Amino acid sequence: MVKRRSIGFWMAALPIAFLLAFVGLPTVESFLYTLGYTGGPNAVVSAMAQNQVVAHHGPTLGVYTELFKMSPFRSDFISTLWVTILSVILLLVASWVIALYLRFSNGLLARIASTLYLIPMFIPSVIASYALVTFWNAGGFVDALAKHLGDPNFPSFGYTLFGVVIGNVWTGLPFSVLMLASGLRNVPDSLIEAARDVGARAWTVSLKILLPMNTLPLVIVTTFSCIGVLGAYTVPYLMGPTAPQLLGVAMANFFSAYNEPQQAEAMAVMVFILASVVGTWYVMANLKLDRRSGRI
Amino acid sequence: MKRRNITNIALTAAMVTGILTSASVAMAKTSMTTLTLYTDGDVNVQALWEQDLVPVYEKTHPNIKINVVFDAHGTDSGVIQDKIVAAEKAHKNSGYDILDSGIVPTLATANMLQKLNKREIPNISRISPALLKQTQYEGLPYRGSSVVLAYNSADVKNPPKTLNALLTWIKANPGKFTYNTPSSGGSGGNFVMAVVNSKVPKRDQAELVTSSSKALEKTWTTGLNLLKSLGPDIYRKGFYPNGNTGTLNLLANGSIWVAPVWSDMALSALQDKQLPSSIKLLQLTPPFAGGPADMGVVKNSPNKKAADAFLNWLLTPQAQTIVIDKMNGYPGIEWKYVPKSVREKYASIAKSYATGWSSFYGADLNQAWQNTVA
Repeated sequence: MVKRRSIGFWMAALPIAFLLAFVGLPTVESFLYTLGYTGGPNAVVSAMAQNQVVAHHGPTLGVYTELFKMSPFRSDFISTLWVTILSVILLLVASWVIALYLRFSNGLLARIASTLYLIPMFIPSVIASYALVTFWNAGGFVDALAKHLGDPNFPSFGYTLFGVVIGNVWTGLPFSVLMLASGLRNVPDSLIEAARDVGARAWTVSLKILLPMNTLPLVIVTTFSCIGVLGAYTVPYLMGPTAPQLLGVAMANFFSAYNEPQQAEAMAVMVFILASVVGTWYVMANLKLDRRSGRI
Repeated sequence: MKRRNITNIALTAAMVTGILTSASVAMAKTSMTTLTLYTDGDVNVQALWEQDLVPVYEKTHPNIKINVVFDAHGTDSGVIQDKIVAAEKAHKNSGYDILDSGIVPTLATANMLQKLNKREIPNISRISPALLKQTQYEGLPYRGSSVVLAYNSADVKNPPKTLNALLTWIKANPGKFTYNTPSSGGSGGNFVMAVVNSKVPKRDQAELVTSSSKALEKTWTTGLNLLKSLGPDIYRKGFYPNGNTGTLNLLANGSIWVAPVWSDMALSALQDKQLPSSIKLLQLTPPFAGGPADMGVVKNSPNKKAADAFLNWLLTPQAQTIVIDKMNGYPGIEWKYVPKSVREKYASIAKSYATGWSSFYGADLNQAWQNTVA
């Protein structure tokens, strides 16, 4: 028993050491840089950077406070939060509806839909964003259609934050439908039929039986899309407005166009903290489920 | 008898050629120098080096081999920059000899490159000293491009010819002008710089080209506010596309009539019919800033002599003509040193361009624009 345990340890040790060296160390290094430590391994990057905050007596949160003092950055930060939340909510609603439809109908249309929803997975997000922007933009298809139908003031979503939300939902759809549909498939027909026999409507079945039995796929979809949207670059860069810019785009701008890597890394730390809050929730939900099913 | 003769001749021939080949191998071994050239940018830059300049140079200089390291769109330029800085700090060879990249001005600001001088590179005297001063003589502008004004002659009969006239035109024709965000491309960046610079007191303008001091940035406020006031008259009440190509696309599909563009990109697009032939280019008086493409020699390169000789060759009329033709660009040397036939071919743009700000102010201006205008 002891021997087997040690084999497991050594098997895991190599990838863990690899991760520590190539991901852990640079992360710690960058984190220290955002606290004002510009020497040591940060000497090279800080030799060229502009507008740095340097620690003289112990660590300083100067970079963070400077960033939040800038009102454009505050609006970047807030926009990132609401775009993330709205994207995830819309994504959950849309993919839940599609997954339900796939679970309960067997017609030709459902079979077509079950392959159609996978398409975004095979289209690079650069191409997709560009297509979406032309589709939703002023002078694009939707705009032209609205004008024909007599609404000249229909808002065009190209280069707006709501456009970014649409792009996020579009790119996130295949993964979340895939997760939710497979979760729904595991709910036995007999349970649903039993509920229907006692007079439960579709709405009740969905809320009282299907939803509670699919907590884990829902948690997975929520956390993964949250984290993905928080640091997204391509969709907001191509579909978003000039200002406010989402943190992914702002990070890239600060890093290269403004030559301020310290500020960019500070934003990366913020995104990391937000993502780890979501990640913690994911782990807690997992633990709770495991405890309920008696695995620990 | 005859046969012996033949074998003899064959033998001697073999011996002679054998000796010759081994001799030439030995010679090559002793004096063969390999220069590693790092370059980034688009595929046109790659073709310029790999298909045009390097083969010509290697043919006339058989003991030099140039190893071109191409990095599409400079995606790794940050890593290369860090590598060179780290090697310089450790006094080690970074593995690169010559750089042709946007990192050259940045490295020059930190004094990480070899100072170039007239003794090793005599042809340097053909370059405008203002451009060399911008990088403290550490960058060699071997080619350039200038931002010019593009207009659709079908819609605009009397294009503005000065900056003030352009600003008046924008207000008089709402929605028909835009420029890309300065952080995403130099054509918008140089327009922003020109407007801001026009409101900076004369005595401070020269400082912005070479120095790097935060205090001077206070002089930008008037210009930035002027740009902000243009907002409602910009295309779609203040939409700024991302990237130089974004502006060209809007010009091509007729959404806008006037925009600042890079001369080389616009000329190439006109040639490839990506822009309609009704799009014309003109340079304002005083001109927009240009973007010299700087080359630099890495300080700890073991092949400095060969690198300097190569840079000197790049400034000869022969090499410069190749550069102008292939890139639709400006020469690094002043136009008067360019062969007359080439000069006449590019008469419409064969003027000098203004010198842009130092990379320090360039980076801060990108941010200031994002914070006040966007």
